[in-house]
Amino acid sequence: MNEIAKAGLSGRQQGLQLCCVCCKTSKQTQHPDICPHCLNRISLRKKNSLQKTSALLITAIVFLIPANIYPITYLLKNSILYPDTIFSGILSLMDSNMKIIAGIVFIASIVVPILKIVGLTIITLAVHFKYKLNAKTQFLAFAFIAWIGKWSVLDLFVISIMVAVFDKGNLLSVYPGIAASSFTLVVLCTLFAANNFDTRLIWDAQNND
Amino acid sequence: MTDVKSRNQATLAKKRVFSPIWFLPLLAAILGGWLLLTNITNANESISIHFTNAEGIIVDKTRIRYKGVIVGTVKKIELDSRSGINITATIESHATSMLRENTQFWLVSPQASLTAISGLDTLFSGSYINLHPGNGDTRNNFEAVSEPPVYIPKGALLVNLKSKQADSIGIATPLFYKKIKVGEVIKIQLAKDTRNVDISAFIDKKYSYLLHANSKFWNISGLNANISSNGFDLKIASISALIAGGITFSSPDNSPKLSTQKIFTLYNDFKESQHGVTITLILKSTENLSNGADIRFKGHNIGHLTEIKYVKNKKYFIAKATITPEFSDLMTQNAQFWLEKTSISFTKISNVSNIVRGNYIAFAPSIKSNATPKKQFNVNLEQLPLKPDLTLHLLTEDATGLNKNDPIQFQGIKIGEISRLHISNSGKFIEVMMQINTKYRYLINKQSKFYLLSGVNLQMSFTGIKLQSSPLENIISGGIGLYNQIPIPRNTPVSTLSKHQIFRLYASRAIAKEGKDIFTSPLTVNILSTKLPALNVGSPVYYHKFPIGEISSFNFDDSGLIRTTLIIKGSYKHLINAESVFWNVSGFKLSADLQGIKMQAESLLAITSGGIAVEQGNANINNRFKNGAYKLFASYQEAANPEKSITIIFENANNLKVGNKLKSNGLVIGEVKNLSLDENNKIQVIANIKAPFIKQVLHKNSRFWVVSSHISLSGAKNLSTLISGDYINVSPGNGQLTSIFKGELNEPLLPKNKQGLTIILLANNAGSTNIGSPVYHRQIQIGEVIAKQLNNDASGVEITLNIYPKYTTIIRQNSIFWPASGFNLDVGISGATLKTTSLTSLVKGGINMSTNDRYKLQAPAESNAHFTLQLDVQDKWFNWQLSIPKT
Repeated sequence: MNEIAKAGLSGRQQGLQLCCVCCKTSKQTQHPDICPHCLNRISLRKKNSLQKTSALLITAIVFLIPANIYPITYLLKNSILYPDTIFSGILSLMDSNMKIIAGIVFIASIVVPILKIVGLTIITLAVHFKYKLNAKTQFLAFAFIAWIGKWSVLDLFVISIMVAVFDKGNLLSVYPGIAASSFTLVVLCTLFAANNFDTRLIWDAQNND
Repeated sequence: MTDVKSRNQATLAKKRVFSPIWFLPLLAAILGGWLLLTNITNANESISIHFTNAEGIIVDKTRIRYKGVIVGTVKKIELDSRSGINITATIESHATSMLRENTQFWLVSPQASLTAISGLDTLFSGSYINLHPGNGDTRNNFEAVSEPPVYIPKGALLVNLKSKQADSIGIATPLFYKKIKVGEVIKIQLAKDTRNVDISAFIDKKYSYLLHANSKFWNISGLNANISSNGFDLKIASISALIAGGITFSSPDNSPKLSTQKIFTLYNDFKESQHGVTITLILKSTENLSNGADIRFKGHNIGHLTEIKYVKNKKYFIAKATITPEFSDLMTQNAQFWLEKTSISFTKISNVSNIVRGNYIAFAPSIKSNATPKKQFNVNLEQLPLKPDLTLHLLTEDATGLNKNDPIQFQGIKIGEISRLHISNSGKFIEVMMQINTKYRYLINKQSKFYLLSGVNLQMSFTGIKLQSSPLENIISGGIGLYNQIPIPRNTPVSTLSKHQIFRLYASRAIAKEGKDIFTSPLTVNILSTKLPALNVGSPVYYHKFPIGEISSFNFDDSGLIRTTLIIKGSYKHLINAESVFWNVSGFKLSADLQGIKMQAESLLAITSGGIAVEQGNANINNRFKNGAYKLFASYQEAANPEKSITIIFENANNLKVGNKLKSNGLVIGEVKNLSLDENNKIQVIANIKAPFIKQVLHKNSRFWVVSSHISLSGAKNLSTLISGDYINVSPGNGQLTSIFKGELNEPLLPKNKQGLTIILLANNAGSTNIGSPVYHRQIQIGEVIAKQLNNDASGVEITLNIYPKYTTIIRQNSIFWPASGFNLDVGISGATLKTTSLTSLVKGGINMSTNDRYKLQAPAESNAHFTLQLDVQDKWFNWQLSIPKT
């Protein structure tokens, strides 16, 4: 019994709820916790979505600091350890005249995580404090963040390959640093934060005056 | 919606939902906080280090290490206002405690040496800054040291060495003891005085007891090749030392323990290390004397020169020398050093090896055992006589043939040698310094005489050459002989000689024997001659072929003769006395005739420059003119035995010439000196008769005739005169002494040696008879034809026979003579008979003689008896067998 939703209003306003499993709408009043179509658990909004997103965001922000301050890789060359932070890595790439790669690394390792965190923070704050920001813009931004999120593991991917390839003992080895873990956490936190965010809250915030 | 709830269900109290997700940021915050906390607590300290040279320092790459652990990183490099580089570095928090006032920083760069490769890691990692913690207050600005601070293993003994040059010594050059590595060099730096190199080294604790106070250190830098005439000596300490050098040391067994810190000298080699004292030598010249030249004592090497310097203002060289310890105490007052050079002379060749090795300095210690030590010596050019040897001064005018080191001999035994020859102060003499061995010291007293030992005594005369020579050494070197009139027994106490005792050098042993005081002023002798002798001023005067003076001038004497003035050396003055005979010995006399060539030469000097000889004559030689001047004879012979001049008058001169000889029985007894015509137009021959023959010849009955060559069928006579010229034969006679004789052109009929019976044969013609034809009796020659001539009226021929004395009795008054010449050929029916006499008579002709045996023996024929030569020969004459008694 699929209810037809009308455009322009949110489902909530129309008393409809969406099953996340069978993607069918149903009336809110009927079995408020169970989807009348597939009998799976159903809720009007994701439970504690904003809290989770916020918490994960805060974690990401916390880990972002060591990720950028501490060395992300240790290059062991002739028994000497050369620690590289993300930024020093980029600078060394720049020095080596590999500006495109430096740019890619810069975007993937610094710009994207920060953009994600900043974007998600703005959206989360806007939802929480019901700022009347353009809902469509917020959604597009969120969509972009969610899309780009997976690319930020590029750095970690490179590090994992390097660690696997450059393993020649004291002569030449690469070890991940503490920043790598932090950075991984940042990426994971932002990924989960984005994943946990219920975009419908954007509109809830618009309508709920 | 609320209605539905309220209707159907119990309304749940809306509780505040606090999601567990919030633990995540909490955890992150805690983690972050912890990180932050550790960061804060372990804050890196920033320090600045000032370097003069920042080669190889890279920001963020260059680490600061302590014992290999990275404790910091260079963060910034900036130029400093005071000509250096300031480096800002962060020191990790755990190491900040080491940042103290005396902490040292230095730059470590890769260093590869042959013994060690240090900082090889820096080859790849780049240089790093090493930190060595010190004490003091904390601080964070430092001055980098230029080289690593001396690192000494714990308990190691620090040794300070001083060396002239660093040679192949470097940091970490090993220190060996008996080829075991016991330590190494830790620091090399130029000493403050810039003349030496200070080397610091340590000896490991376990070996530190090896170092004694008298230990010697020397460099064993690798290869030690010693090429000398003794061979090739190659020493290699060890391969690592060969390449990188090394220092080794030895400690004498009895050396005291090292008590205080001491600076040892590092010697260049073992040889140098074995030195005792260092002495200074002053040299006038350094002929072929190399730096490092040996100092030898009786051939043993006792040290060597280490340094030769020229002192400009004093104009001599100063050489430093080291003497091995065992000889060090010989360096005392009166010790002597002299230069040993190669010397090649006729008598000896010494130190040939010096040509290759260079000269060396010889040493002779002082005689006194307790002489005071001395550090500076003069190096003489030759060895000076040592005190105990007796030094004698000998004066001579002529040192020809005398050399340094020539022997002084006594009866052929060497008792010393000439140590020096120099011109005396007065310039008149040569002063000869002689060293007489102490052993033979007793042989010398005031009366001792020294004479020149000439090697060869050559006496040449017509009888032969007499050569008397000393050992070969003397022939070449000569030398000086000692002559003592009275033999000195061995145990004679040594006679003291005055310090100024001066001996003279006699020319020969003979002169020394004679010599009283012969060294006086020269003697001037005048000799007169009719002609200027073929001599020059300066030509020598010989006495027994030994020059004793010279001709000083020629002049005219008042009497019109040539006066030759001779200067006889004072030492030979005694040789001239009233009986002296002078004669000219200029050049050589060459008398060539058919008998051969006779050459009489004086000494070579006399040949070239001529000379006058003087000899002791006897009293009866008229050797002087009335005015006292000596005569100059042509030869001694002339003086001692003057020839006598005789006059012989000949009818004609025939082939006579000046220079023709006078002979008696083949012996030359004189010579034709002059030919002239006398007032009667006769030939007047002036001849000189040699002294020994004067007595026999100068008698009235002596006969002189000319002998010329004569060739005839019967023979040739006196063929020698064909070449040598005619000569005058002399038959000495008796009677009164006279000097004028009548000469004959032919041989006298009865020369003395041919005395016999003279018989004259009368014949129609001379036939084949010739002078010299034999007279036979039974084919035995009993006489000969000595003349044949026409008789007075030319009606026949007179043949004069001379019958030899032993056969005179054979000729009897009735003896028959017939020619024996040719042969007799009888041709008859019975055949032909050929009768010949001897072949001689066949050729020469001859006369046969026989006496009839039918008659009684008649009286012997008288002298000059006349017989007829029978031409009709009868056979029976051959068969006569008369016996004739001898008397």
